[in-house]
Amino acid sequence: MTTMPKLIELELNKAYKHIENTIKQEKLEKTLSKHPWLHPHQAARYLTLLGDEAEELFSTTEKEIMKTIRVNTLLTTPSRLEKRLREKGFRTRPHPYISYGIVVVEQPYSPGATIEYLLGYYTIQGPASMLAVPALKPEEAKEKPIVDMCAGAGIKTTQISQHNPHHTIIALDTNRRKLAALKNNASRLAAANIIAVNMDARKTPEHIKAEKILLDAPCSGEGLLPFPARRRKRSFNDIISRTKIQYSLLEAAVKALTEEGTLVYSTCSLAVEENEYVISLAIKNSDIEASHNPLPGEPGVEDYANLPIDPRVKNACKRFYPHIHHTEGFTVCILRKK
Amino acid sequence: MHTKEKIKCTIGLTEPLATLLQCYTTKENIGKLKEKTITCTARKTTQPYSYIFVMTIEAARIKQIPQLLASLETNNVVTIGIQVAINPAGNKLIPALGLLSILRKAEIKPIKHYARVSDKAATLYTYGRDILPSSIIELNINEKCKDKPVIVLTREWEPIGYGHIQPTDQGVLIRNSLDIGWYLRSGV
Repeated sequence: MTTMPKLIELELNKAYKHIENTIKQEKLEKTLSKHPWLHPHQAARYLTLLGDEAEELFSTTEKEIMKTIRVNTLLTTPSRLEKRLREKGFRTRPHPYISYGIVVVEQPYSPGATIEYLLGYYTIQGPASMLAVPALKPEEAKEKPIVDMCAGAGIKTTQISQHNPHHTIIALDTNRRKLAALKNNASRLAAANIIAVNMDARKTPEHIKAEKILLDAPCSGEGLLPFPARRRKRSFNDIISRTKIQYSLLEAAVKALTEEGTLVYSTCSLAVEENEYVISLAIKNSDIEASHNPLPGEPGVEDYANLPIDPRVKNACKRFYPHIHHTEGFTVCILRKK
Repeated sequence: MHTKEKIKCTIGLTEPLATLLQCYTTKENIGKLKEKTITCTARKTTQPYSYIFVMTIEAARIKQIPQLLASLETNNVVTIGIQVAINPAGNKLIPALGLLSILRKAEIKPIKHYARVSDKAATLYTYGRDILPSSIIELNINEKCKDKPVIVLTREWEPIGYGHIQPTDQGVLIRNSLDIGWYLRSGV
């Protein structure tokens, strides 16, 4: 019997053979000479996914991405904060998709160095990254806890707290240093309903049943290609290894969910392997179904390198592209336990 | 928190914590806070002091917390709500920055044992500086809490840290004992 990690490896290697066989070498070479920071595998994958549009993605610069902050509605309102920031010389405008998001247009100094930041009136968060939590609808949680499986420094966990300050939130991460940052962020932002545990999220079903789960999965970070300091070369093997981890986390999340519970899966990646493909595997192999995703953004990808992708992901996943939405590259998918 | 730790949770506020809060606010406000609070104490077996955490959630859900904690790997719990104080041996709590957040979230303004300071002094305070007598707009001292720091507030009543009162020839100086700039300076 083929195990899931083996199946993932087989299917992705088959897709990569297809990419290698179909990619136009001249086009690939031209792309690599213009963007030498790309790994040839990376360039080939995005040329397969987007065709000529890939050039627009690779050419998007950091300056074109909105700089955003998330207003902490536990302590203030967007209009009050905007007024205070304006008085300090900041120029802002509302986030195009989210009521408590603010786009910083001009800044006299770093938004992370104001007294308002230290007072917990806001935190710095990517423009697309702040869309994962609204998709989870934490405010609708009733009985069981809400779980943030890969909480990191707790930026999204504290956002969950903002949506539902009265419900229990469990934040998990394997990195103790990041959880120390979460502890500080929770204190600064007055998010007083979070229990943070240094634990491998794959063990979640052994400990907790959750009504809502956010799985902001560890990923290749390919959504950060416009940021020179944060972009990384990724080979086919890098993507395969991440996809395996993502599937194992998804599997655990499905097991830990209560019936009809909601799972939001997100990554700061535009790789189909790390998003629609891994979601398709979960839909096929576990008690989970695709759910309508009301977020703005481009629909999920159904057709890519002959990978077996469930057509329902088109509706469940939304993609945010740097060259279209002026956000970091980000994907959010919504699933529901049967 | 680290491994080999003892965690003990009490529904409501523990007596030492309620006593600390009485330095800054009314019994009525403390009573309101008690209704939706669970206080947990975590002590490293190798250390003489413990950390005090407060979690505020819906009253109906509070009873589930001890059971939930028991199902988790408690040795690896990093925080339960917000850390509000440190308890060295002797039960005299040292307030942490988190206590200010708990008060703000509950919309409880300090009414005792505080110092309101000018805008410029408030900014400098968050860089770790002291408050000079000329920068103090208003000073309220709770005689019963002379061993506790005062809460330092901006002109708009926003808490920015704690300080100790020190009389000088020019008036009262506030020594910075902990300020919200620590969130950045700690590098965490």
